[in-house]
Amino acid sequence: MERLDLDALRRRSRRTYEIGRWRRASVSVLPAAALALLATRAAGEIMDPIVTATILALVSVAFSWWGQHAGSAVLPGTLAGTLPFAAALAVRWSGETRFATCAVVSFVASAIGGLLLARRVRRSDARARAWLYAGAIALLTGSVACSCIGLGGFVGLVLGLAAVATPSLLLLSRSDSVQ
Amino acid sequence: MDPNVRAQIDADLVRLADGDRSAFDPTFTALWPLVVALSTRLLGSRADAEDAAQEAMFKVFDRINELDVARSGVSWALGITAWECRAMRSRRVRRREDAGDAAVEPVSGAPSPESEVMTRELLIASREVLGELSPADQETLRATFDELPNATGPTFRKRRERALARLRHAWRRLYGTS
Repeated sequence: MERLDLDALRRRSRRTYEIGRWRRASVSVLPAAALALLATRAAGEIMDPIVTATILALVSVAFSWWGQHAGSAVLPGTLAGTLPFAAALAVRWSGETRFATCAVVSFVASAIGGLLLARRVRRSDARARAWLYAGAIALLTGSVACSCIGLGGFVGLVLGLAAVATPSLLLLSRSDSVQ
Repeated sequence: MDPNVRAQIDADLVRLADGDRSAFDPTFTALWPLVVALSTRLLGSRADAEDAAQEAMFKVFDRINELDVARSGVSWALGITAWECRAMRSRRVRRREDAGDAAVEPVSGAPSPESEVMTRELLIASREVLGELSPADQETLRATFDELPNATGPTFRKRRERALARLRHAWRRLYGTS
């Protein structure tokens, strides 16, 4: 009887594991696709939302496939990013185009999203890293619509998240290193 | 099985489900002998047991993301193994390799301590599945297996069919299907 090749079995099992993870991670494309559809329909823009949604989809799938802190950041990051996403669409519907208005609305919405994210991340065991992963997803999610209201929307989005992220990351890094 | 060893394998399975790749090798190394031993106990033939064990390992690693961290990962993996062995047995009967011998023949001689442990693992998995059923279904199945005098009649047969269908559904939900 042919002797079972355990090394070959181990390699094939590992391959099966990774393929299973990719298959499960591919579901993460759906929120990005939905957001792109919403943004293109609501804002009448095509290129910008699709490009940013594609980047969001790729990053979400990669994070989900990798797992651990990156994987668990996808859902909260996406949810936090829907606030600036919705705010940007509302600005677009209103017809407002002034840089300052777009920036302020995006800033406030992304700051609130960032605060909710900080509350969620508090429960993680490597909080600074979890914040970075979730913050990246939130930024990309908000960008899908903020890209439709010009530079002001994007600037407000980045500043709003940074305003919450900077003190949060400092505090979390300090308490992570103390633990 | 030593409870600490079992707890370690359970912990490694949870880590692997979460995406910690460093848990893959220890999980594979610890799980493979358990899966092979259970398959050998259930199928008798070493060749069939290794085939079933390989398929079971692939299914475990393919579905590891579905692992319920609140339950024992070892029981979950052995439940998948038992299901794979059942499928192998059905295929064997259909191929007529053991004509007229659809029942599993246990390995000859006294059961080894390892195979007794494997049987115990299977019983734990079975109890977990039974625990998912309603008290009425559990009572029906117990009456069937204990061959109680009142476990007859068309009404009881209907109850038994429904209870078995729900048992199969619960097993598939917890441990996957072939």
